[in-house]
Amino acid sequence: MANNHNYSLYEIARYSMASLLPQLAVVLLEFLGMLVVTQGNPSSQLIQLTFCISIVSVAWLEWRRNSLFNSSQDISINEKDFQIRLIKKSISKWNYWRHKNLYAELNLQHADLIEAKLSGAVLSRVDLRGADLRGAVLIGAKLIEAKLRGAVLIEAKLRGAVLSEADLRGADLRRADLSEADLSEAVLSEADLRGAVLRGADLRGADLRGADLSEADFEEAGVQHCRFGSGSGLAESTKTDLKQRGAIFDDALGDRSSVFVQR
Amino acid sequence: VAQPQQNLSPLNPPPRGTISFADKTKKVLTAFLDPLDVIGKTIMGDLWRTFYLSIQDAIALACLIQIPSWIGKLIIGKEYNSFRVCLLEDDLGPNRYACFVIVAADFALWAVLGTRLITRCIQDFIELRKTQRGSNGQQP
Repeated sequence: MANNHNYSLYEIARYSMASLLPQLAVVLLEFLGMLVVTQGNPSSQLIQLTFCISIVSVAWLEWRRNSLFNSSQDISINEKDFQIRLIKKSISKWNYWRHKNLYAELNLQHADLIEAKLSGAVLSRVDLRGADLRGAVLIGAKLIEAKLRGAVLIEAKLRGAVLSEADLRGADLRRADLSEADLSEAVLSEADLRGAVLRGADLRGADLRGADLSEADFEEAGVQHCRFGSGSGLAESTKTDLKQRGAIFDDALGDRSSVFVQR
Repeated sequence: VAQPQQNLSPLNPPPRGTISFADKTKKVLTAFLDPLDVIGKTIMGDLWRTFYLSIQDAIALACLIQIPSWIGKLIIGKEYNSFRVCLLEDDLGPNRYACFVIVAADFALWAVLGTRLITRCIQDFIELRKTQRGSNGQQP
């Protein structure tokens, strides 16, 4: 940390101070616990043991903090590589780093995140354009306003993920599990949703125009004001059902095949 | 008049022109710390930042723990150095509990200060070894 010259002294000092109070609280809690357990009459061995435990816990917290800080030295060298490495290493570390670097440019464009375990990750507003997320586990992940244009999400597990206002134009979501996901106001135009599971998903206000929806499962999905365009790949019965639930189909463009038949 | 709450995010940075108290503090501290960093590095090299952070920890812990302890000692008028002394106080008196707090705070001060310093030094040493190995590897 001392050799970290990518940060100003102010930033390092602030970061160091922020960790002091939690560490102090841990030590004081340990001593408080010891006093409670011994009813205010601790033996000298127990005091020594508590002191040793305090040292170990502070050392562990400090080591963990500095490891994360040192690993972020590479930010100025290659920010994108650092972010990819961090998210693959630990979601909690990624979320912590994001919290600490609120204004950092979040760039994971064309990142190789095949089968990555990203459950619970905060990826809101992250640039994931063209990223390869096939088979990735994103259960409960936060992807609000995320840029996922052209991303590959084949068989990705997005159950309960929050994708509201996300840009998923042209994304490959074949056989993806989007059940109970929040896709409100998301843009899914030209996306490939063949075989995708959208059971119980919130699609209110979403844009699905031009998307391939063959064998997609919309059971119990909220589709009010969701624009389906021509509803490519959807069966007539499904279309009728979705219309009844408040979905908007573009009748002007309509089903081209029926137009040709009429002519 | 209550101001509407703004959602500050990377997309919605705070508006320019409005300098908050935090920004002012940051400016003042940066203006003081940047030249100090240059001087420190010149005198102590890479060891400077470890030294600075240890001093900062000591000052912060003194403010957080030692000053309230001193105030407590002034009020009670007694010196407490160990838990054993606390046991001599009356079971139902506040002095016993004040003593526990003061002694526990002293323990916390040294546990946190010493451990942070040692951990930082060990990590710096490891980083230094890594850097040396890297620079040796690059040599023809």
